[in-house]
Amino acid sequence: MKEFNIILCGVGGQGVLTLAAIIARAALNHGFEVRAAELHGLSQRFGSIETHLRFGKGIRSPLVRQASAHLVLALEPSEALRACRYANPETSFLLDKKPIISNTLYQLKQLYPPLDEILKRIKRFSEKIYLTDATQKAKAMASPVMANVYLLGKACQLGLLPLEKSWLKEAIKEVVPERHLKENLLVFNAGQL
Amino acid sequence: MTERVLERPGKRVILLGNEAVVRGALESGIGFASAYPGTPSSEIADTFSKIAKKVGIYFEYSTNEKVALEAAGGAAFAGVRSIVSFKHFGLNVASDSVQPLAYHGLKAGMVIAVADDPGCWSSGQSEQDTRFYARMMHMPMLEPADPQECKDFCKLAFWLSERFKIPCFLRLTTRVSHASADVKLGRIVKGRTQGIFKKGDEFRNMPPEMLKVHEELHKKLDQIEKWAEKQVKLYPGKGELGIVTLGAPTNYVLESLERLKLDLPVLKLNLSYPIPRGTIQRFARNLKKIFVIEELEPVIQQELQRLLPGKEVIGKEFLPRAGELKPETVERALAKVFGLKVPDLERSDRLLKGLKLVPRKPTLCPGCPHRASFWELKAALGDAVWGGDIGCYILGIYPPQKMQDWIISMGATQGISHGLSKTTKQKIVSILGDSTFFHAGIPGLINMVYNQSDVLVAVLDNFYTAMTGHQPHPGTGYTGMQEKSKKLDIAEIAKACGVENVAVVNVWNVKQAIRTIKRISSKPGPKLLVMRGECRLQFMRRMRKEGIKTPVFEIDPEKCRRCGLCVYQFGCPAIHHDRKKNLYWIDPDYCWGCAVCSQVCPYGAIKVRK
Repeated sequence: MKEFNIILCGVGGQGVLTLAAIIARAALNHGFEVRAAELHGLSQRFGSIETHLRFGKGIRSPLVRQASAHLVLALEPSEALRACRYANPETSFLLDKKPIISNTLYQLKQLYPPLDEILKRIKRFSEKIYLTDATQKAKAMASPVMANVYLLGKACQLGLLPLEKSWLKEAIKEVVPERHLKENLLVFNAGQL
Repeated sequence: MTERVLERPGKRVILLGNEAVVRGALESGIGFASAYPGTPSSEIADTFSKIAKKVGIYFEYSTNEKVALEAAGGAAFAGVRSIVSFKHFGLNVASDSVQPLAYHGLKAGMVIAVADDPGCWSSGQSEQDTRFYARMMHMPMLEPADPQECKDFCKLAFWLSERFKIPCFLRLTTRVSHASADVKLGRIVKGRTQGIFKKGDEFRNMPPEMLKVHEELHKKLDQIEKWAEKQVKLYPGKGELGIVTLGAPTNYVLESLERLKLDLPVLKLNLSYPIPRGTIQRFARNLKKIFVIEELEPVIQQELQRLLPGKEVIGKEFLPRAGELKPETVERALAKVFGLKVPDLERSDRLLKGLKLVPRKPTLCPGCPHRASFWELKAALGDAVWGGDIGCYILGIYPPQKMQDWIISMGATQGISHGLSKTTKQKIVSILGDSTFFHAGIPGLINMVYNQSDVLVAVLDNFYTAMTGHQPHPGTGYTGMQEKSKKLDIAEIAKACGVENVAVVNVWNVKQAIRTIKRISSKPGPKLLVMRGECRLQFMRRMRKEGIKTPVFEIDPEKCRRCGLCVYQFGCPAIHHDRKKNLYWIDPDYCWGCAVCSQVCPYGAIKVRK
């Protein structure tokens, strides 16, 4: 594998950066070069978040090139639409179903599209779409904030990542603060089911 | 995890570009660091704040960038190696003191880390290209392309600064500052934190000696240029066209050439100023055309056009001047120059044209004290002129608030409001935050008193420099090294500045706040209102840490008359409107219990959930 490109997206506050840090650590620990591009500041305040993560050999750019993502991990369904910029027919999309409706929509007097409509729009870019209930499951087990590790567990179970489950588990232990570790591992494991 | 920047030498760790700058400074033996936070530079300061005590160096968040720069200058006068960091606009604030520092001697290395923001990801004022400053200030500027270079070039900058006794710029951009990559670490060097100031002529220059110093400065720059001849990286290739590039776009250039299967010579510059003219001339000798691939303005392109008469130097004819460069922008430009097609990008472009996105703007958080302040100001004063400034409250530019009538620069609202009050009969409210008040709001306030304008200054005090990551400021009560400090009181400062009408309101009590605003705004002359309410993000973090549950609110559908005020005028992101069922409801996962909506609802329909 020369390179593997991931777009991680969601809404500010959903733990997109932590998710990227976990995958990056797992890749680094197992000999890959890692590049990532994050956004901080203004956009974090409940705005759209898009983090780029690349690993492999001889990679340079921290940004994923347009139409070059292997995987899109979306913690919010409509945010996956923005990631279509990076999709090609081989790109896999893994989406959490729970919408986060922005006040922007109310101000514009627009309706949030139904999930089917969102999927229809994504399908024009790639047919490889997987759905999950990460937020709902994480909330039932611990906290909706842990939807990120649930989604990661699911990606692992579906074989969407060229990283082994044990590598990711070990990375979670390195990245997540001690006092939240037990719950995070529990939710990650649940994603595997 | 936060201390990965202190890992042992030889280890490969993932660092943010900004963290790598800190490691570079530590490997250079620094003793003093200062900063004013600003995205995308803030993590340089925040990392120093976390580790300064541990590694035994001094760090401070200064009141503004000018003070931060001068403080780092003072340390260098004493022979202590220093670094100062801020965003590009911060350099504008500091600039008055930067230029003289180039003329004067230094007793130890001094690095100015400045972060540009191509693409304006976190900058509402302009898309500034700081490379022009290096030319105006006669100071060398190093440009790393990735986190490894952030560390290595920071060390190089210290070496250069000390060798030539001149401050050195380390210019970063968003895609360098906020890129993460594996970085190979070197040895941390324990630097001096204490020196001695020896009186000497090098720190005080007056005309006519100044002209001599100016002349010597140019000689120094010539020497630096000679040194910079080797500060390049050459990637050999064939053909008549060669590429000159620097900084973040270097990565896109090299990957694009590989993808397009083009074998062209590439010259990467480590310094954007001074440029190594001899090396560039040698590189261009056997080429017909030079393609300069650089972000923002054609700074290098224009210098090469002058340097290489008879050669065709292209650049901005194929690349945008506005916005950041991306891998595909560079690839498209190269494809266009060589008449190549890129089918996958064409497919993607075609599909993207028809793609409808779901809009989502960044917004004030649930429970944000600024939302309460905006509501109270509008309720008390109706349609006033709302002076805007730089901070989280900038988000009040969007509906439903729409209460930032201008956004210029830190503290600028004070001067603009004053000017308007002298030239219009309108009611002027100058809105700025606590950190901004300390940063640049006070001279404007004194001017209002001195020149008697009729402005209401509203300081939205949320206790931190919130937008850039909740750094402490002079009103917070502790320093960047987590030491207890004097808590400066904004109301007392205003009184000391001669403002006769000063009031403090608790923004969480809506009725009382409105009453106070009405009372104070009716007074003649300048008046100041401190609107106090802790940043809710910080408050919630503390509550979670202490295991305290905050209340969650809900809407009683029996009492709710479906007026829509909470969603469409108040605009808390936790409150929703199910239009099919015409039902208003609060998402419990996002309600942070501020209780302001329950005071705003005209029908008393919002109550604490049992």
